Amino acid sequence: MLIWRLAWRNLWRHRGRSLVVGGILFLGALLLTFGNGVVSGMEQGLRKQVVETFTGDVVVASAKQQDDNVFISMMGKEIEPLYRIGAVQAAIDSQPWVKASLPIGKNMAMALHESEGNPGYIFLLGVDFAKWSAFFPGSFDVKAGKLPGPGEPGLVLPTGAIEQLHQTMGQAFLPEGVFDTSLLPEKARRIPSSSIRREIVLMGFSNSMAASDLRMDVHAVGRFRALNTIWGHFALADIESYRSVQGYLRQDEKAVELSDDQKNVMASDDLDALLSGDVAAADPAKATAVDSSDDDGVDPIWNLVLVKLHGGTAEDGAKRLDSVFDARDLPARAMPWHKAVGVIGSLALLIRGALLGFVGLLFVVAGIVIANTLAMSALERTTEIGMMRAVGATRAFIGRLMLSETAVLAAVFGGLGVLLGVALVAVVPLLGITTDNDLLQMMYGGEVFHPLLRPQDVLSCFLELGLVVALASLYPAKLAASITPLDAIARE
Amino acid sequence: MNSGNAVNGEFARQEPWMREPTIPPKGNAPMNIVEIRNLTKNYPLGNTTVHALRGIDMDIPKGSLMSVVGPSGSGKTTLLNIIGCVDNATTGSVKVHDQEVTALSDRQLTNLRLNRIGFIFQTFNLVPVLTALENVEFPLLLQGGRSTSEVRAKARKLLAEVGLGDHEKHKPAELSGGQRQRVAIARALVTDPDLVLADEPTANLDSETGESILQLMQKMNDEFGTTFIFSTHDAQVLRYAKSVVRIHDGRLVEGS
Repeated sequence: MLIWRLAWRNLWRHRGRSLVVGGILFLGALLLTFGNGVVSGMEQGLRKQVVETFTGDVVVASAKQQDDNVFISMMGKEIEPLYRIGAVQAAIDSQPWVKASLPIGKNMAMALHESEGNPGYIFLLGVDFAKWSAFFPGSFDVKAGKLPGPGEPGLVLPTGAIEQLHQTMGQAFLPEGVFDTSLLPEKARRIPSSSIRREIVLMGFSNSMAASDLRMDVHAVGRFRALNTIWGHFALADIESYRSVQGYLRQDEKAVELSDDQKNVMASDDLDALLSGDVAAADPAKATAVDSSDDDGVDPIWNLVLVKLHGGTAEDGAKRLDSVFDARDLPARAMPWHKAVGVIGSLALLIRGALLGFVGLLFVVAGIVIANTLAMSALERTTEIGMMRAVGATRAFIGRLMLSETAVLAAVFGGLGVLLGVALVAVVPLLGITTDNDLLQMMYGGEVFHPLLRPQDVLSCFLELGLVVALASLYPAKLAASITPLDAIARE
Repeated sequence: MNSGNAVNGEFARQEPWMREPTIPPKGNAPMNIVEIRNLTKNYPLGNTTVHALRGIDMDIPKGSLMSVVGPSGSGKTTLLNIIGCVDNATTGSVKVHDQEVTALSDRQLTNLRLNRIGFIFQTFNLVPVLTALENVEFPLLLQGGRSTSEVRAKARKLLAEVGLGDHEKHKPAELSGGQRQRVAIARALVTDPDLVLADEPTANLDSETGESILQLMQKMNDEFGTTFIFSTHDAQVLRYAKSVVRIHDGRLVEGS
């Protein structure tokens, strides 16, 4: 009680200094709280946008798939084919906590230049457009043309893919009958409409050794509603065209069971051996894509199954699915969405890290200023502190007195900073700040700037503030506690 | 008061309580509240050494009202600081209330100052943010073990004794020099110390106020039997002392 009374009155007595230290604490706490709110909101928004427009909560890949990053993987690195898709999807869909699942194909494709120019490269998704649209409702905004209908072959190019292809190939692509050049990248808008390409030749990048080139009509162009900067690089093809491009067995094709001799020849690099005898009659392309271990017959090949959950965390969902796959001996494995999208999943973590780095730097500077100010204050009060020591105050009492003074400042000014930060986080979403800018959308975690603070975020703000204040007070408290009565007398 | 006694061998023996931070109970007080043997104090000053005290031997009986007199730089303040446990001896033995203070830890010395010794400083060092009453309460609150009302009642009584009953709520800045020194005296006495040390308590006061302070100390000495040791270089105030020690160049030159 005595200490708190002394602390409060000392702070009031040295109002100017208290305001300086308090102001620093206020600003630090405000920035920390609001920053945490922005990052948490971004994390939440990003999760929502990624999960609800592109990946689902959990992504299932082949058990042979080594890299978790199946969406934004390095160029040329194949995503393993996922065999026994029927059994895998049945296992997924039989779980009561699974809301829906959607198989897709995903790999790189090369767009061939038909006039001996440079080829282009794009991420290619193979989808059943009707199912994909139902799984991610409203996620893609068609600007021109229309999505291919059931069984209809066709390619859908987001604006990002058009831009990327133009950059490398120097060619612009639009659907047949569409002349709105505003859909093209700015540099491509001067191209005469007669030079606009309506079809594209794609060649797969899978390791099946059977990838073939396929001429495809551009059916539609558009934008992903959110995070088009990222997802815009993914072109969508009907699944059968995708399989043709990647050299996978198509739905309408039959698997060929090879004899042992034929398999040996297939495994050989000797071209002469390959061209001699009856084996040449077999279609090597299709044969390589068959999983002969499948006892249930040959399923068409996909690469991934996207899974939406009723609730719970993506990590838990992935673990539970892995247990199901293990129990049923299925060649699949599951991963939470943030692992499947590589650096995008870590974006919030990276920005949080950057913010923490910034706030950390701010707090280091603030800590030094606070420590210096308090140390100066302790030295200025040598007579007073020395006198207290002379009449019986212990070193611990003096140390506690100094810490209490900083604690009062931190509680009052830091508390105000945190409260204002919380209020700002609550008010900002009401302002309805939206953006079409892709980069800002990534920062916002969606179209609307919606910072968010959970109770644990607020608690962590207080803890971080307390830690900084405690560290900044240690030296001044030690310095004050080391003042002796003799120091006070020597000053007289 | 005796001076010039030889060092007694018993001072070298460390009693068990000396190793503890606790203070021996009041009562059974020794005849001499302070016993000093062959005390020296040297200060390094650049490349030279200042010999502030050069072998002091003295006993101060309980209940004394003693003045230490000498010119500036003679060693008065150093002697009081060592007796008051705020400075260390270079060599020699200093016993306060039968405790060898040179062997005590910082915490034990703090404990001794809190419970046995009162201080009155030259510049009326009060806690500026506390009122007169709160300043008097301060050592009692540090001691602990008393209820708030007990502490308040005791502090009020002391403040009234020094004539400041109607200035309880005044901060030091709102008091005159003499009033502040009275508050300091009340604070020094509130813990019922055996010994009160006052280093030139009248130095910053006008002569009339200074005399009133000395009269107050005299009164407290008479009424409570508290031992007062005050230093001064003002010959006018000596008449209030029951005994006088003269110090010159760090040596006792005369006793009376």
